[in-house]
This record gives sequence, C-alpha cells and structure tokens, in this order.
Amino acid sequence: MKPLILSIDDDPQISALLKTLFELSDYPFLRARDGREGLSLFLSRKPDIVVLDLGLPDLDGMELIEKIRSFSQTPILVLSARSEDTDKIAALDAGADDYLSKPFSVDELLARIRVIARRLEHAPGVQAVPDVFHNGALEIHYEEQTVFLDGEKLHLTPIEFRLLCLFSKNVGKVLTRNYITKEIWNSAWESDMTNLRVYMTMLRKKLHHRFIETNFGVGYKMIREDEAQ
Amino acid sequence: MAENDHPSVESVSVPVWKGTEREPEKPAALSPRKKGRLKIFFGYAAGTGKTYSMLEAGQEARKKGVDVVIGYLEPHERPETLAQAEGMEVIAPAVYEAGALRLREMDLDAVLKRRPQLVLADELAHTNARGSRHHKRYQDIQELLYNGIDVYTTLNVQHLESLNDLVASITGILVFERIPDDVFDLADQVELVDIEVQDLLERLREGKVYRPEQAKLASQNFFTLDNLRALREIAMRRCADRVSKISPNSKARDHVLVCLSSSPSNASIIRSAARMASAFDARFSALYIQTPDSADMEEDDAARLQENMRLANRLGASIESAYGDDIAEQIGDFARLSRASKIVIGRQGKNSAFLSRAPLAEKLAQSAPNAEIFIIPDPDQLQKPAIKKRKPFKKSLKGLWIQVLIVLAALVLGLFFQDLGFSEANILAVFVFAVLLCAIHASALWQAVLSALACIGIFGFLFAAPAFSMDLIDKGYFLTFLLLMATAVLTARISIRQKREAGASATAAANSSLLYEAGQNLQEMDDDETISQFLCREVAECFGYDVVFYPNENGSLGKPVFSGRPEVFLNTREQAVALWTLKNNKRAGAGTDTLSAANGLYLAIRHGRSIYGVLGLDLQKKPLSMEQNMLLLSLLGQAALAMENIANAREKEKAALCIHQEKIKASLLRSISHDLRTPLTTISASADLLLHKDCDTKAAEKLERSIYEDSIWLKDIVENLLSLTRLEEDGVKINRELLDLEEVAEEAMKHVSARKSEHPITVDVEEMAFARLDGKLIVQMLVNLLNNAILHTPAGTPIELDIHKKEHRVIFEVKDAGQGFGEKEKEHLFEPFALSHSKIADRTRSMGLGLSLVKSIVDVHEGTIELKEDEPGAWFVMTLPDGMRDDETFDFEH
Repeated sequence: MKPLILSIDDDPQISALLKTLFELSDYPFLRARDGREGLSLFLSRKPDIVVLDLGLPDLDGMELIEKIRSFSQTPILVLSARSEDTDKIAALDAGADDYLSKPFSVDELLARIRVIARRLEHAPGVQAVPDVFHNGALEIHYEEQTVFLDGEKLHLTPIEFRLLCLFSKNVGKVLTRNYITKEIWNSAWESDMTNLRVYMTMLRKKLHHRFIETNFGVGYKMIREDEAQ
Repeated sequence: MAENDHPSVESVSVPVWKGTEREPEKPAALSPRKKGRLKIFFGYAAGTGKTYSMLEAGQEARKKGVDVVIGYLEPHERPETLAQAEGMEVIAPAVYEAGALRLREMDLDAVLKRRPQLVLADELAHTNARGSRHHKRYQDIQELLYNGIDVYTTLNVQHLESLNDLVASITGILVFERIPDDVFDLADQVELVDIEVQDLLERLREGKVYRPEQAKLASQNFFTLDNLRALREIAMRRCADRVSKISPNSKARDHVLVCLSSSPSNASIIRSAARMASAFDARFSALYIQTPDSADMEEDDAARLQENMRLANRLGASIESAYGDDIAEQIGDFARLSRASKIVIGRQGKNSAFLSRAPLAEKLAQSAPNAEIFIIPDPDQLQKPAIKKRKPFKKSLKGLWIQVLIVLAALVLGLFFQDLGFSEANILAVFVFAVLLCAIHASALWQAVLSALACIGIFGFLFAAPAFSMDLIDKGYFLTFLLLMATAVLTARISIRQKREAGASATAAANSSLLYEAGQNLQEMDDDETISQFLCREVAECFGYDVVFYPNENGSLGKPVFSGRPEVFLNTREQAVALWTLKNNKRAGAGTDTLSAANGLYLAIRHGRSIYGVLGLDLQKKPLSMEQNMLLLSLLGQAALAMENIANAREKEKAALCIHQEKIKASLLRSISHDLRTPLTTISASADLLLHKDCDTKAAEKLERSIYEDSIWLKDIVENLLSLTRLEEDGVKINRELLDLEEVAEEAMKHVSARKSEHPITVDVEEMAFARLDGKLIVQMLVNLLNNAILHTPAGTPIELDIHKKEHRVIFEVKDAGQGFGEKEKEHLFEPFALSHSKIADRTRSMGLGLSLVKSIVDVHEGTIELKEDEPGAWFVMTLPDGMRDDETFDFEH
C-alpha cells in the first residue's frame, strides 16, 4: 500500500504537475490550495506524507508546520521558491523532515518521497528501538557502542558515535546544524557549530564519505545506502 | 564675511525657499527643514488689543484643525482676553528663581518637544530671565521658526530698534527691550492692531489697560493724547514702509554706509543710518577704519566699539573693516569699491591740532564724489569737546632707557671731544645729533622733549662757556635751542606715527599672509578630517585658545577634533551648546546672547545654508579681541569654502558613479534579456512543436531533452543573478562560515552542468582543510568556472579542480585543456558581459555574468584571481585569505 500524499500549494501549475507525477507513480494523492484547506484535509483524511509549499496566501508555511507538529509526527517535505538557507533551516527546525528548492527535478522529488515512504515502513508507529542498526554495509550496535563498516570495526570517538546514532535514528531526515548541536552539546554556540564541522568532517572521512550527505549551508542527512543513486 | 549671529542671514532667503525656484537639492543633513511662518500683531501702545487679536486668530486656526498651543501669555492679562484663550493647550512656563523673584518664561524646550504647528507667544520684545537659553524672546521665536513651527506674537512700536531714539525723543521714555528691525521686516505677516487714540484713552480710564493707580501714572507719563497720536503715526508709517519694502520691483539697490567708531554717540548714528537703509530698502554696511592710533585704544573704548559693531549687526549691517591713516580716504575708497550711494557720518568735533584742518565731510566729498553724505548731529561731541585720549603713562615709559643711554653717550663723547680741544660748536653738533637720535627712538612725545631738554641743559651747563653756569640764554643760543626743541618734537611725532603704522601694517600683513597660507593649504586638502585638524591647529596657534571641532554628522555632533586640552569641552553642558549652534546655525556660548553661561564660544562653520561643523574656543582665560574675531571669521569662512568644495566634489563623484552604475545596470538588463531569451526561445518552440505536431518518439525525446537542458540553463542564470544582487545589496558584507573544503568541492560538483559527464573531471582537494569563507558564493564561483570550462571546450576535454591551502591562504585552481582565450578576450575577461563582445556571444550559450561574478566573489573575499599565461587552455587561479583566526586550531583526535 503506497502512502497517501497531501500537497498544499497555491500555484495551480505546480499543483497540476504534482498530481500528474504522483498519479503516474501510483501514489494516492490529495491537494489543497491554501493552508486552511490543507489543515482540514489533513485532519479529515490523515495523509501519510505532506508536501508543503512555504509561500501560501493565507497562512505562513512555517506556521502550518508548527500547527501540524503540535499534534502529529507525519513527515513533511517542504517545497520552497526561497533560495535563502535561513528559510530552509527555519522550516527544518520547525519540524519539517526534508526540503527541495524550486525549481526541482522530478526524479529528486520522487526519490525523497521514496526515502520517506521507506522510513514509514521501517517504523510503523511506535516500536522499540532495535539493538542493532543496519544500513547497507553499516552496522551499529547501540548497546556495545560499536560500529562496523564492511565487517570491519570502526574506531570512533564518543562524540562521533553519538553523532552517528543521532543520524541512524533519523534516516532520510535533514538534521540542521542547530538541531544537531542542541542534541549533542545541549547548546548552539558558534563554537559548537565550529566543532560540529570538524567532527562531521572526521566522521564522514571514517565512513569513506558514504551514508551521510551534506546539505550545503543547512545541515546533514543520512541516506540508506541501497537508495543512494 | 558677515558675523555669525547676523539675523538677516537666515531670514533673507525665506522668499527663495517659498518661491518656485528652489535651491538645488542638498543632502538632507545639510539643508534645513522648512521654516515656520511668523505673524506679528503690531500695536502702537499697550491696550490696543494685540493679545486679544492674537488669541482670536489662534482660535480660528484651531477651528480649522491646526495644532495650536499657547507658548506664553502674560499672566496679568485682562479677563476678556484670557477668556479668548479658553480651550487652547497651554505649555506650562519655565520658572526661574532670581533672588526673591520667580520669573516665568516660555519653556522653549517643552514647546520644541511638543512640536505643535502653531505657537502663540506674547511680547516679542521681552528680555528673558538670566539662565534662559537666549537673552531675548525673539531669539526663542527664531529657534521655533527654524524648527518649522509657526508663531503668532505681539509687538509694540517702541520696541523696534531703529525707532528707539525717535520714540524716546517723543515720549521721553527710553525703552530697553528692543528687537532688531529685521525680525519685524522679515515676518511673513504683520497685522496692525489699531484703535482710535480717544478710544484707547477711554479704555485706559475704564481700567481696562492698567489697574487704576498704574493707569494714572501711565496717563501722566506716556499715555498723553499727543504721545499716542505720534506713536500711532509712527506705527502706521512703519507698517507702510514694510509693505513697500516687500514689493519685489527693486531696481538698483541703494547702499548705505555708516562709519563705526568707539564714540558713545556712534550708536545713535548707526540707528539713523539703519532707519535710512530700511526706508530706502538699501543694502547696509558698517565700516570700521583702523588707524595707527586704534592700537592704543583703551579698554572701555574697545568695549564700546564692540557694542556698536554688534548694534550695527543687529540692525542688519554687514560689518567691514579697513586699515589706513587717513579716515576720509579709506571711507572714500571703500564707498567707491562697494558702490555705497549714501554715507552717514557724525558731526566731527575732533579735528586734530595742526595736521588735518579740513573737516571730514569735506574730505569725504572729495574722496567719494558720487556718494551722498549725511551728517548726523552729535550732541555728545558738542557738549564735551573730545577728550584727548592719552596713552597710559606706564605704557609710554617703554624705551626710556634708550633715551638715557643716548644722552649719557652724548655727555661722554662731549667730554672726550672737549679734552681733545674741539670747539664748542663741534660739541653742540654732538648734542644736536643726540637730540635727533632720541626723537627718533622716543616711544612718546614727552620722552623726546625730556631728552632734548636734558641735552640742552647738559650742553649749557658743562660745555657752553662759561662752564657750570646756565646763562647761555643770552649767548645767542636761545634760538638754536628753540629750533632744536621744535625739530625734536616734529621728528618724534613723525617717527612715532611711522612706528605705529609699521606695527599695524606688519600685523595686517601677518594676518593676510596667514589667511593666504591657510587658504593655500586648505585648497590642497581633500578630506574633511584634515581640514578640521588643520583648522583646530591653526586657530589654537594663532589665538592661543583650546579649540574643539565637531563635524556635522547628519545634524548631530560628529567625532570631535581637539587642539589643546580637551577636558574643557568634554561635558554635556558644553556639548549641548555646540549642538545648539549646529542645529540653529548661529554662534552661541561665552560672549554671545545665547547660552552665555558656557565656557566656550561656539561658531558654525558654514557656507550659505550648509553647516559643515562647529568650532568651539575656550574663552575662560581671555575674551576674543575684535581683530581676532574678524580673523577667526575669515579663517572659518575659508575652511567652510574648502569643505564645500569637497562636498561638491563628493557629490559630483557620486553622480558620476551613479551614472556609471546606471550604465552597468542598463547593459546588465540588456545582457540578461539576451541570455534569458535564448533558452526561452528553445523551450517555447520545442513545447509548441510537441503540442501541435505529430512527432515520432525519437524527435519528441530530442525536443523534451532540449526543453529540460535549457530550463536548467535558465536556472543557472537565475542563480547567478541572485548572487549578483546579493553582492550588490550587501556590499562587502559576506557571510563567512567555517567550511570544510572537501564539502565545498562536493557541493560544487553537484551543481555543475548536466554535461559534466561528457568531460573527465579530476577533483583534488586537500583533506581536513578548513577556511572561513562565504560557502554559497564560493560554490557559485567554482560552479561558474567549471561550467565555463565544460561549455567552452569540446566534449572529452579533461578538466581539473584543485583546492589546497598554503599558510593562511586558500588556493582554488580550475584548469581545462581547451584552446584558452585570445589576447583580445583576455583584456575584457572579467568585465560583465565581456563575452557579448566576442564571437562566442553568437553562440547561444554565453556566460555573460559568470566570470564577472567570479571576479566579484574573489574581490569581496579580498583575494586575487589570475589567468595563467603559459598554458594553452584556461587556467584560473584564485588565492583567497582563509579568514581564520591565528589561534584557531582543531583538535581532531578527541
């Protein structure tokens, strides 16, 4: 069963494009022309994924994310014409899972949707965290605090390990730097940001630049290796 | 140059600002706001109903929706009058304690803070209590007007400066509260509040003007039928004069010239001249002639002269000075040069004993034949025939020792020659010579006389036979001695005069050379700071005061420049005075009528209506002398001119820059539309074909691909445009963040053109290298260069991207093995749309913005870009400082 997608977008052209696209890919699809309609559809039809345009005529997209997040963890993919990083970061910090800047490529959008859909399959509702995390050749044993890559044990510092765990619990979701530093250091000072860059560089190097992608100027995202194009 | 507190300066140009020909736009900070309008309710005596009319007009304005407040109303007004004030907002007066008295004054700051559209303030001529900002209320009102607030006020005729004498001579009462005529003449509206004299007397009797006992006194002294009639006539005539003056058809204007002196009667001469100038609507100048004697002026004379100058200034005269021995000639010269048509002088009582016998008027008639000469009777001069001013005795003692020395030398020489057996006549010659020497060196006449007597005495007593007796009078020497004495006196007179002249002309020469040099220096300076520093230093050196200069920074005080001790100026009170000067374009502080409690004197440095700054002098030690004042004003004038020149040059530069930017923008727009049109054409045409024609699958796919590729192309152009606008908007402000250079390369590769698969691209990035740069811009820079390489080289051409650090610099290299650039292309490579000049522009894919954006990005990072010469292909090397702090190191192993 493919997930139900709700698109909230006031631009008829994009809206029509999304409809065609998702119908061709056999996704059940709903569309709303503004924030209010989107919210009521969300409440009545309970979609599995929301594709949201940030610039809406009635409500601010950011507001809508906060509203939805106040009672639901349904994944939200943000589409935005604004190319400024600050908007993306704000949307992600407000609770959005991923973003795409307009103009976007159709393949890219479908790929993102697939990642989210896979995540929904992996974690249907609340489920006990497994002891071992698998992502292609990557293996994390949470209890033993050990990591294996291609069967070989990786030597990670405690902070690198915590970072990796954080990503493994949010596969497919873009984590902003702000979010990561708050999770790891409980603060978001400029010095923490600097440290984060350095740790991420180290971690990515140890992972041979696999599994974790940089979203330039925004943050990082772990991808499933079998999905990486 | 006019004095700074010259009231007409700011008022004269009012019509210009109101008229259609506005002055060219000036920067907001320098050009004053729109001035308020002044309306005066003018009466000939108390009780004519001025205040009532003013309040009535105020109420009417209020009904029309004007924001009216009462700034000041006499508290002892009549009940009917006070009733008229009902309903209007009253600004509580400020209260000043003066001994047992509590004085209530208009609270200027409260009114300015309240900022109404219209203020009603009674009694224009009122003198403020000590401690107020201004000495006079009319100055308060001028400040309100300057701040764009309209004012209604009241005034009686006897308070006008120029009519002061006249009114005094009619009524016998001298009024001390006076206002300059300018204030009256340049008011936007004057309403004569008239009432029949009989009616006024009636009202007086009814006790409507004063309380009964006061009324009785008043009616005996002032309110007599004759007095009131005369006053009414004067008031009406004055109003009529004002109206005729305003009428615009001014032909060649008359020019009235009055001569300033230290004489106490000079004031009334100045007033007469001012009346004349205003009656003829003439230009008005006051000339002060410095003579060799004026250096010895006594203090009270100097003070009186200053007072007279200020009076002339208040009456609207521009003050000029000239130096010379012959007063008549100087006046004549000045009159000829300045085309003065009327010269006003006092009747001269002072004719010196035997040098100039002709009266001044007659000589003046010769030296200025075209001017009319008016001689004003001078009662003081007639009563007490000029008291001969003598130099203080102490001062004339100077140089007495030279006299003694010469006489002694003559004595020794005389004795020596006598020993040698020279004759009496020879020895006499020695003494004659000594007498002449003494006369030449005498600093006062009495010195010469005394030395001559001594020489005669010594010769008579010691040398003329019979020795040791004084009976030489009989011996035929009498005439010789008499002539010798006369010679001594004449020589001394000439030499003393010459010395003084030499001194004065030396000072004049020094002053003018100082001004000349200052002018030369100022001309060469090309920024305000150098000028202000120069000015401070120069003023401090020339006058010996501590000096401060505040530049005008959008209407507030900028960073001060000091010369001497800065402490004096560094308190809020002094700075408040400086700020006031800046805001109101008038001098203030010590020695002026405004905020005179301050230690410093503050002068605006201005040209026309633009103020460039405020100069403050610490006048605690000694006040400024008249000559210093003039010299200072000239210096300030020159500095202002220099600053004006700089401001003009800056404006011009800005304008030129604007034009340049406009040109760039125009060419940018042209190029963008070209760049956008090309892919758009492909897209729309392909889509059109797909929609309307039956294409086979292969052709359709080809069309679809071209639509896709060109849309990506459009996207890139838009990205570049966004970056470019960002750079333009933020200027050099870039968003530096810590970057992992590997991430940068990775991100850049993600965005490089889809055709990258056609080219083998080698990426070589130093590992674990960080830099603080603007990530988005750096990625954009690399994408542009890589795309450039991809687009302009045939498929299969290898491309290299190399990023590495060297000390504190990051070096980016993008290299392709294509054909490179031609000589001509290289020249314009980094100019926007350079490619539009070359052949490549004809191909659909040009990167009109690409390389110029790369250059801009390198520039904002303060780096350099280089095109390596010795390679066949294009090889760009960008060297950027890494922006890291020196102590920034990373602990990689935790």
